[in-house]
Amino acid sequence: MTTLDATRPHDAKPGPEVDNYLTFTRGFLSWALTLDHKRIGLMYLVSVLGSFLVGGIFALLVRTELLTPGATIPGVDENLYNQFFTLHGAIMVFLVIIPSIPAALGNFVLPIMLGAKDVAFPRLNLCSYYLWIMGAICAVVSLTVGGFDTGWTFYTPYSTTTSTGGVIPVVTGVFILGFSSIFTGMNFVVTIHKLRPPGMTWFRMPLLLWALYATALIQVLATPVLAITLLMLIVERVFLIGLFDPAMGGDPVLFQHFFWFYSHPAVYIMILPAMGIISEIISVHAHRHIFGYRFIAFSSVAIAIFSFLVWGHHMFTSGQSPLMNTVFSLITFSVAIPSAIKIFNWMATLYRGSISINTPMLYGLGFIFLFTIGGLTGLHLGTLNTDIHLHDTYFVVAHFHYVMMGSALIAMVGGLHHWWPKMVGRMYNERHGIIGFALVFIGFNVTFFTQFMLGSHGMPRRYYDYPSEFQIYHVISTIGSYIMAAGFFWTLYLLVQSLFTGKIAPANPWGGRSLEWQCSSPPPHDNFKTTPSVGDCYDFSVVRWSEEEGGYVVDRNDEDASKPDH
Amino acid sequence: MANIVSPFEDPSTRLSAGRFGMLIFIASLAMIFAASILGVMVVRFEDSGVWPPEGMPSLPGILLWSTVVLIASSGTQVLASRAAGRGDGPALRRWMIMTLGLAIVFLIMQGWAWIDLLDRGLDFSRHLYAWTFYFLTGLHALHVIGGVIPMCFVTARAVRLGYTRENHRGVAYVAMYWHFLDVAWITLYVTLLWGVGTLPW
Amino acid sequence: MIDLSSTLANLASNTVLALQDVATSAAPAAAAFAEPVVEQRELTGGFWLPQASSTLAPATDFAFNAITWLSYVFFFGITFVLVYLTWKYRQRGTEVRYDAGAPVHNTPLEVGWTVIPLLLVIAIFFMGFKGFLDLSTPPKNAYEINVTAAQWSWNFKYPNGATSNDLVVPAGQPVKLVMRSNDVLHSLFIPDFRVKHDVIPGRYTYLWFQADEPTGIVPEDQMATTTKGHYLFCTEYCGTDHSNMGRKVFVLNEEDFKEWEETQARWLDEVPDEELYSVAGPKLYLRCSNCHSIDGTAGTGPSWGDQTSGSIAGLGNVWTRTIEGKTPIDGGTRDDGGSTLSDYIGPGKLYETPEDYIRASIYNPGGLLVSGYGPNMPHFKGQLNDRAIDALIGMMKQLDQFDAKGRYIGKAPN
Repeated sequence: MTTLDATRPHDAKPGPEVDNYLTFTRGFLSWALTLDHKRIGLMYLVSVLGSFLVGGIFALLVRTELLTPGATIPGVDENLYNQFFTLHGAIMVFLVIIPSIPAALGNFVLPIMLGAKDVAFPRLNLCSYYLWIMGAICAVVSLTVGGFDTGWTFYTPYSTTTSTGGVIPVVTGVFILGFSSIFTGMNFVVTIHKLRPPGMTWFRMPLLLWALYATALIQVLATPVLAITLLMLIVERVFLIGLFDPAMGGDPVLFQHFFWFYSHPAVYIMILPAMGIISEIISVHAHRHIFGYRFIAFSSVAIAIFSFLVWGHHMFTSGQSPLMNTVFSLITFSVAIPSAIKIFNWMATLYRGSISINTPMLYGLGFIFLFTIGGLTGLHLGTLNTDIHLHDTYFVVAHFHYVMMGSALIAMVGGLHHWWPKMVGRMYNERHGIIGFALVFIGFNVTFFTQFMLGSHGMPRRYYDYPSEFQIYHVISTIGSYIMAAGFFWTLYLLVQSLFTGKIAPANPWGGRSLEWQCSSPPPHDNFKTTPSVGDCYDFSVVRWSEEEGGYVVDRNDEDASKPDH
Repeated sequence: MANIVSPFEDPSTRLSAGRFGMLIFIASLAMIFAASILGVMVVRFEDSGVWPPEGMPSLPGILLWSTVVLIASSGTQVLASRAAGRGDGPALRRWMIMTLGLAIVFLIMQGWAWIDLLDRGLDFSRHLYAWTFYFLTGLHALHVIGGVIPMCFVTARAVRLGYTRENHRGVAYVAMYWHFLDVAWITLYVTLLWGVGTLPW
Repeated sequence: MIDLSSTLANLASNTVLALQDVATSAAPAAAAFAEPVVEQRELTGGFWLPQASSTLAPATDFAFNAITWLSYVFFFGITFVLVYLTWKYRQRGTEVRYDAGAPVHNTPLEVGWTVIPLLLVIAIFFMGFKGFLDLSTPPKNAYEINVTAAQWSWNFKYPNGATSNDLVVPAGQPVKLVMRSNDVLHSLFIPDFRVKHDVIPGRYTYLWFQADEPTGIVPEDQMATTTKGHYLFCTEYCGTDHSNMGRKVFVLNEEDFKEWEETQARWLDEVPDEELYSVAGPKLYLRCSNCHSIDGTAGTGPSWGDQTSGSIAGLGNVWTRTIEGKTPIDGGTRDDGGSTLSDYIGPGKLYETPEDYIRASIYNPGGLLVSGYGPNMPHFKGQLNDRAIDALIGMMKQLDQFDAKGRYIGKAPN
């Protein structure tokens, strides 16, 4: 490390002769034992995308099976179908969406945004990654011992009595993944507290960091409840007695309380970082100071706090008391407000901006569109009497796919395009990117908007067979899922292609102001030689296009350090 | 070599970051105990019957003594931490060995309580009363074992006089975790006494 | 909107008809069974909601529609502003046109778009709350029906002792369902009534509705295929045949309901003894058919027929089946897998006669499990009386007189 050129300015032009984290050291072990947050982030990214492929294949199997009522794919019977949707849900939730933004993109970007050399505890970070791998291995093991058909929610007493053999391994896997998530959250909280550079007060942090901070708080405080619940489930399955067993005086609904106490906040573990990414994408590509900084920041924290108080809205029909239903419904509506505030502020950020219409920006705008639908249909589900009708139908399926996939995952893909040049040092083909976006966006809406209609007409979820009058909607939905799959494969192709034929990326291809755009692309091993000073990360007045750099440059970077907070 | 083990250059910021991280981890573990206690309470009060049910033994008195031992180990841990802060290696060595010894005695006493109850016929799967006792004490014992392992490493290093006044992060972290286990056990013990409705005197 | 919905409906029926053509021509063998013609149902109701057939449905629909219209306003408003601003302020090329005067915050605006949505959602909450109070308060004079859910069937039990697999209710009168589950969680959902509630083991849950419009009723063997009646679904995932727990709700006017209830309570007694197995057997078998085939095909439970030869030979061949090791028998565990059922049946053994074994297996399933099957069967204590069990045993003994679907086809000519 000491042999490196210590005088190199941190915004130096990239070139093969400059150190970068990808080629800094070589060999398998230099990756497997790396403590570099960028490499760990990249390994997470590859692992998460691999899981996304597997979860996606199960989704396509489910959709294909539903093309006709009754059996469609030869050899796929009810039991196999039940395993398909269970695997799809469990993989997508625990292996893909929860770690996707914080662990993959967050790991890569967070320390650089802070101008730090790494996260607070690099070894713990690597440990989190290997816990993730162990969790994934447990899931694979469960498939080899009979699979599991409990649904990703593991509701008792079905999960403690079903004869499929893979329940204990997969629950153990989710338990381990929980600790991976807790350690990542803990790492991020300490990093943000202790490693902010001089001049970066709380209210000068990029909004992604606020979002990741709020997310980390939820990860740290909610995930342990899931862990203990799953432990109780394992014990009950082994010893045939436990708190959830009605035959012995236990309470099966207690499991649902515990489960949703984690799993509702988990929805915000998914969506909050996505909102953070959108705040970055919208302001950077509109070259416009984010509108209402404090409102966006505080709304993240408000969402994190409210998220702990609304779990009961998953249980309006489960037999909890009408009083509890009423209280949970009321608090649930309060979550709508901070989400609405964010949407309005993003829209106001576009006003009088200078908007580059490119792939990340389209994903950003697509996010607002889809999240609006996801959020508004949440009103139908938070309202007591309409939820009685809609609960556990395809309406719910459509709603949470609009939020978890249409919002969280779309933001993840948008963020991937946004930071791709920074991560790999190559530009992807912009036109190809837009085609990918169009396919995903259209496919998504065709797939899931139809499911709102299925659900409101009464089609229950997790059904292998269904009355034939629902078929047309299922057929349209399945066609949509094929279009979406084509879009994702296309996106994979264009990103991989960019590694070989893409233009060399400049340090700052979009005109961003936050610190990650001031080190080279890809960043050097230790990010910055000296801790950089920071100004207003949303002041784009100093951003200028430079022909010789092939990208944007930031003039007078630290001049405004004395300006007041946002 | 190539890897940055910590981004903090100055040992005191590194220690304060580490302590902060430990605090968050403890908050996380506290949620585990809080949820277990809450779950047990919900089920206990939904059950209109008497706990312990007819014919099942009440909590053994040895738990009271193990509680005393655990509190004592927390006390010796405080003395160990102070010694580390002064840079007093021999005192640190003495108090760490004491703490580790008390920790192991505590585990043995918990095991004793289990054996005693099993002897008196309190089978894990007979009733949720039994389940509650074994689950809560077992959960705590697992955490104690999880604390004793790093404590062994810290004690071994203290025996070699490996800590200095400036660098004693291991001692600091183990101490935080240990005090947490102390508080967690007292909470659990009160829960068991209160929820079960029988005091040992 | 209305145009779109009718277009979709047309499209739906055309596609389904086309698919049916394909299915029939591709599988001529299926026609040989002379299946009853399946009437094509169409989605009832409007673009979003199915027909509203209970007295509380209009309140739910009002709330649904109000929220939906509000959503349209916000959705189209946001989309329009989004597209307009993006287009108006788009940047051509790479040069940033920085606008130094663009506002970065505006407190009255922020307060405005915090408070207005807040007021709207509070209004929505009260709308839902009011409807929910009505939904969760059954009238005192409600007609009570006991519901037992089990994997994977429903049983509805009426005050006069009548039982039914489909829900038949009187019109113009509040009906209260008192529900419990024999095994795992289930949930009873009637979309046309806008009611749903989970059914939980170890406790009772309630649900009520009032339907005013009679639907008529059809004979039991046509219930699955008729277009009459309302759907009743299980909406809490409960395993293999979760999607096959769907039944029908029939609403009868007072007179017809009384008559149906009477007949339903007596039907088993009225079947002549010699026709018990051939008439009552198949009707009762409908509750077993989700798990037990009679042609030797393995299901969730063992087939009634012989598995090894695939023949329908009656009870005789069943006794050679091996039993599951570690089967709990009368509290203890017998760890002797590999022995056959016949080892346990006979004078002085666990079961005196084969009939005793069948009866025990229906009342207390899981006592002696056939190898390869789990303890999945719910018990039928209090649901099947001695006569019903006689009918089922009679049917088992003469399986060769039934087709693969359990329909009586008569004695084979010798």
